[in-house]
Amino acid sequence: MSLDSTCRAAALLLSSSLAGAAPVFAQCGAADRPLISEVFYDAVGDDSGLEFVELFNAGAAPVALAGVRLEAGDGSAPGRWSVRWTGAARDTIAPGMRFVVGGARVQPAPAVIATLDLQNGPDAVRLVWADGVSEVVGYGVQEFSEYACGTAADDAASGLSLARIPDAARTGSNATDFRPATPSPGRANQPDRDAAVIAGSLSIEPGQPEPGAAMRVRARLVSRGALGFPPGDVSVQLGFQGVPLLDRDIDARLARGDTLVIDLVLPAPAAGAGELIARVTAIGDEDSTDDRDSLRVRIGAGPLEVTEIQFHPAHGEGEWVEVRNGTSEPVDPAAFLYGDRAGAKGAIHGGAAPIAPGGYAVVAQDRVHWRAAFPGADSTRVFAVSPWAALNNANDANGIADVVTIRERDGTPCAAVPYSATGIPDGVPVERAADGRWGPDSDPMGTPLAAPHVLPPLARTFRAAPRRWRAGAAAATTLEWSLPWAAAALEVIAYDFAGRRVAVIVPPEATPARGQYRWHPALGPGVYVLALDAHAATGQSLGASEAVRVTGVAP
Amino acid sequence: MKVAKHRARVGVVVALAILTLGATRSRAQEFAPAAPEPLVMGAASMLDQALAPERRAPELVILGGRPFGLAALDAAAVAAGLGWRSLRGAAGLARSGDPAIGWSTVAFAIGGATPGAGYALRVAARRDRRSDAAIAAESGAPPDAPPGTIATDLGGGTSAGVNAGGELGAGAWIAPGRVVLLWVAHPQLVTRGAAPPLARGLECGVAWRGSRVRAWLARELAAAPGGSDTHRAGIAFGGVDASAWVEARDAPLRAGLGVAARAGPFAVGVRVDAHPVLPQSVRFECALGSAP
Repeated sequence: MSLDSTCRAAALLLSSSLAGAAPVFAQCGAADRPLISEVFYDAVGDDSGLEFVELFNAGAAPVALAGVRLEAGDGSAPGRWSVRWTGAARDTIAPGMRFVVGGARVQPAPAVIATLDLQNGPDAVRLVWADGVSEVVGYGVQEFSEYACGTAADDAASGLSLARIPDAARTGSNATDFRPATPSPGRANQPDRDAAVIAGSLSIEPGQPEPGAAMRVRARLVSRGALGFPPGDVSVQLGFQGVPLLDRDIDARLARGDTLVIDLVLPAPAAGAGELIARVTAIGDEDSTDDRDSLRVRIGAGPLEVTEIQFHPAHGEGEWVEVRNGTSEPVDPAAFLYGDRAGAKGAIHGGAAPIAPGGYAVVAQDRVHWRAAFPGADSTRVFAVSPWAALNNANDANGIADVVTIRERDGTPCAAVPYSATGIPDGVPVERAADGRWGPDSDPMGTPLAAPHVLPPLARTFRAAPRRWRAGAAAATTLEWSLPWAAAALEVIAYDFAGRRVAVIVPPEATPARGQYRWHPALGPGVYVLALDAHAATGQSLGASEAVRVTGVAP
Repeated sequence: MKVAKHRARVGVVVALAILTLGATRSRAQEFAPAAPEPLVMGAASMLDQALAPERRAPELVILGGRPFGLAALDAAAVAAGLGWRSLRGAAGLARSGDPAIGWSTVAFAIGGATPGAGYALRVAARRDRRSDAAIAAESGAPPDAPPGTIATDLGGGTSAGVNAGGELGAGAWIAPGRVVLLWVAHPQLVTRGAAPPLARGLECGVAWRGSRVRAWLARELAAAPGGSDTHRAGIAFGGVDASAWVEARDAPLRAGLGVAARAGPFAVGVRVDAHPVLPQSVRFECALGSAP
């Protein structure tokens, strides 16, 4: 059927060419008549009121549409046409202008409002003139030739129209004349001059710059018109929260179809969250609807700061991330999404919201196991995440293992913390120090829900404080060490005054060079020697000891 | 003389019976001599393990040491011994450890000995160099301050204010034929007040005493339930003027060696004990008194 239609069109084209006349195509209208230039039949969601058919008069004289019928065809069977609109005496298309027949929700408002009720393909629309000339625009795979001019156009995805590009294209086949495009009722499908910012091309780096710090903005421009732009005719503007940031002329020629990458480095504006807008302005630009792209960005720290990351748990607690409310107002974690470098998609829930100003909370992969590992922690400040984005344990080629990402639910960035796993002992979280630098946690188990322990330099290799306590005392003794290596495997064993081994205080585990361990002693009264034994990955080893005393009554 | 020998043997039997029945715990090392007990028995061994020396000549001993290479555990002591007929007596003073964890000791021992047997009772009293209250005051923080904020944690315990304690021990030995020596000692049959720095168990042993070579084997029972017994064995070469010895221990396996020399009434000895993990311990003694 399609072959038959094509053959017939080819025969007509051949005979017309031989006769020296303009080409004439069956069901393809006439050269002196306005053409169907755009059909929108499948809006996203409910179609009602959004469908339209656009006619374009490429001629030099106005054309009256009185008696012209716009019909919808059902491609499931032959001869199933039904009238959707008939032109009245007042309906006219001026030269070079367009006439839109469409639903009440079409913007800008069509010339004539009509309920078109067009079906998704394979179907067709047909414009029938009073003298019998007709033009058919078919879409989808047609079974019957009457539903297309030549070969039907490809079906357009939801939200896209079928647009004749160029606007006056007339090759005798819907398949070559029409292509899916962003709906543009009343406007040229392919204007002569149109500079656009490609949607979604706007980006900044770093993703969340500090105020005043250099930020790199990238966007892509494209010349979508039939004609291009000479140097100086195009300029680009940037703005944030309504405040202009930059206005720069493009000194390069932008030819038809050309794409131009805009790469700008400028100081980040004042702290805040909002839309960064990139806009292109061009002399003679005929389409203003594609002149801008926007991006939700945040300058400076967000309400939730990431302060500690456990990406390789070794005690069954699961992965977890500590966050802190850095604002002076309570913050509800449920207003945020958690994720990794692939994006923030995990909903935060559970726990007792909100987080008080300056307060800490933990988002955990598994709340039950986390609470079992930290029985003394305030479990009301532990939140679950669904789904949890597993964090990587090994660095990529750029030296980054992963990026802990938190965004507001509208997509506004809140925090993005890249971390490196290199040099981090197994099982030890990474933590942000007071000076903002990240490094191995001072406590091998981490310090969730608490400020980082700021460990001053230790003049000795090993120290216990206090060195004397009463048997049965509830308070902990802090063991501190300072090793000459970045990390080491370490253990601490207690010996009695006769040198007999009596207890393992710190079982063998990987630790950072400077660290501490909170020990709840369970030793009976006596004098003990705590022996630290550390081994570096290089094979070097180190030992140190400390005498302690447990007082108490003799049994 | 027969009366004295009879009294000594009765004393040994009584002491052995007491020790066997009361084998619970024992502690204190302030007066441990450099030479292995009972290789040389004197005032120090009488105060440390209640092993009364055969000799009755007066003796003055100065002892010192650095256990496990830790200056915080440095110890010094002076002991004096005296005998009259078969009676033996000794007294000593000692100071061990730095002010934060250290203690002072006064000890007395009395017993009896003959060439073939000996027995003694020892009493030691200790007091911390700083009381809990003094430590808390020096640190400037109350006893119930949060952990990590004070130098000493004095809160929450069950022995508030107890910074002094004492212990009573006994020991005995017998040397049938004078070549073989058997001994048993329990330095702390009874303890009261603050617990001693080290729990020591009942020790029994046997020694062979040749003219130039001596050897010994001893076993100390675990001081607390669940603990393991420890053993030591050694051999010594030399005579009265100069000698050297090595001694091995278990739990964990380790060894010590020492030398001693005598010139007239003056004697010196030093010993070094190795440990598989901890630094070496060093102990020395200087004695003034006639040769045993």
